[in-house]
Amino acid sequence: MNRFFRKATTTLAMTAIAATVVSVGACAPKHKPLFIESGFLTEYAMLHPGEPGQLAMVYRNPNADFSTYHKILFEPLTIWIDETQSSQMHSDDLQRIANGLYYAVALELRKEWQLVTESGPGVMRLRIGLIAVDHPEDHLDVYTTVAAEETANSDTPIPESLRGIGEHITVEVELFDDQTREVLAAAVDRWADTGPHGPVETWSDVHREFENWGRWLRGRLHRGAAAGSHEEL
Amino acid sequence: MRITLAITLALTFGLPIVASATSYNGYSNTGFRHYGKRQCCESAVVEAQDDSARACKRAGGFADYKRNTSRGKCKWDRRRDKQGRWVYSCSGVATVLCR
Repeated sequence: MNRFFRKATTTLAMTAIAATVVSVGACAPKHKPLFIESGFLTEYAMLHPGEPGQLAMVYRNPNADFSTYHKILFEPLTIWIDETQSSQMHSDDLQRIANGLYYAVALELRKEWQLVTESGPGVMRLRIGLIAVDHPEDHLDVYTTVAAEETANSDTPIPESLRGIGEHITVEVELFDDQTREVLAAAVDRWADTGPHGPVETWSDVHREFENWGRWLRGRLHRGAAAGSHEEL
Repeated sequence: MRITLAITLALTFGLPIVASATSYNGYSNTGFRHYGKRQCCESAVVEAQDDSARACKRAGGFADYKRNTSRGKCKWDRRRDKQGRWVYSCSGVATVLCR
């Protein structure tokens, strides 16, 4: 997804480099799994590796007719973070992320679709999860959007605990029919590998990152939902 | 000593344990009734928030959980049902602002 909160501390970077060198030298290389089946999505078995330029793991329902959907019910954005990581972070900051990213995405979606809050025909539901777990059995700290609130566009530095968090986050996205609950499309990728990203030092940078990501997601959905398109997320 | 006394009083008289000056911990346990972890944890957190809000009201306060944050902890377990599907049980802990 992006380089959201990208700046890792020098110490962490050095530690990571040292650990990599040691692991390469000590044993056969191990590939870290691209993502962990967190359980956020309805189904993972249907996902398959995306083509270059797509998200890492994708699914598009071959029977889905996106031209019949003109409305989106955007569910509260969810953050799942394992307790070990979240204990080092301020809960207000994580809540700010859940609210701010929701706001930015909703702002973009509104340009193409009617955003609704009630079920009905022609409505597809969009569900986004930011997942930061190291193991599927992790106990979770759960945050969901309370209100769509624009992230403060301020030069206040983000807390040290948030720096580099984007490297540990996986984004899970799911679109499904509001009436039948049939999954229309789904995708999973690392936050750092989606959307355009720049250095993130301040809340103003976060604000910009969220705007960019919302724009990027709208573009993805637009292309995927275009009539006759078979493009996946 | 004080903590022990507080817990003893809470257990004896059913008083809510105060998480801070203005909030109370709420707890929940969904039992094995969800077929997805997301729904299970969502329910656990919402029910724990409701429990926290009830504790707040019992203490004469006003639970302002819609304006504050939506945050909770979720511990989960799963097992196979008779059809072989995973069924989840989640326990939640949450604290809502109490005015």
